Amino acid sequence: MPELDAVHVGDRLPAEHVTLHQGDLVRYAGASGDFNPLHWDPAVAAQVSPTGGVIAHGMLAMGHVSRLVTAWAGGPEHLRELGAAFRAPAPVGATLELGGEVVAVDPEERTATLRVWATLPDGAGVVDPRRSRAVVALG
Amino acid sequence: MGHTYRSFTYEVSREKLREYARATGVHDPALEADASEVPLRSLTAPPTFAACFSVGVLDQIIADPELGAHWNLLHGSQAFRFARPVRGGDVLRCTPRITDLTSRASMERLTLVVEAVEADTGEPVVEADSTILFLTGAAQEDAAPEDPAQQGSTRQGPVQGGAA
Repeated sequence: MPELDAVHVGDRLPAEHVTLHQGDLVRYAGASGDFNPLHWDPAVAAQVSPTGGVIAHGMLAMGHVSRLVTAWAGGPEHLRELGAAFRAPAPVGATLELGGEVVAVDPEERTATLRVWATLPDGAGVVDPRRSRAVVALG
Repeated sequence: MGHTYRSFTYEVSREKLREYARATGVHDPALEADASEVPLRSLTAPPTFAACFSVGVLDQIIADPELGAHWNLLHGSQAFRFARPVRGGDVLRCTPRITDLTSRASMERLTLVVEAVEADTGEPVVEADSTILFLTGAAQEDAAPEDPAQQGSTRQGPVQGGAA
């Protein structure tokens, strides 16, 4: 868990990239119980998807963001809150940049608030950086 | 609003934790270890594991005839507030309730909160907020730019699981 004195507004988590393949979406569907065919059936996706094709679960992108934040926090037990606003669709095969940045430190509560994101190469927020936040307990 | 749905019990199993961790790229040696080496109670769930007993409640909501909901929906946002992390062996009492239902021009926005507490003590564990946008008929195109990522379905009948 990061120490209060060592965390400053503007600190950035080491960015990561993850590519979401069809198999990853199928795996997430099974793990989470979310079998919406939008995430695995091209025929359904052709009718209802904004991209015309299969897109990733927003929760899958949020899960990867969660992984990044949890690693920085030192474990799930240090995560107080995690919130994601889903915006841009992530097509199958898309590579997401995962990131986070400290936007506030509360010395009384000993917490850091981070804005977090999962973005497409053009910057579009699958997990929207403007409205997605994590609150982490500090040491 | 404020309609509360029937509570259900969710048991956190080793295999489900492992499956969820792998699906989200989490490499936790404790979750990967054999059951003979690491006790179930020492396992900690990845934070978004809570989706398994919150986002997945949507099918219960959809099935509520009084609500008149349908599967043409978007998952707008998701938030988790943790009193403590979810752990292996937890038996959670989960209570879904609708806290807000707002009509807009082309959609209805529903806020669903699932409160998960320890089944035996009632101690809070995690609260999950889901914002779901139910699109109304032909207005689907209008709503898509707001949250195209979680475009739902106009297709045949209910699907299992959540919106996104």
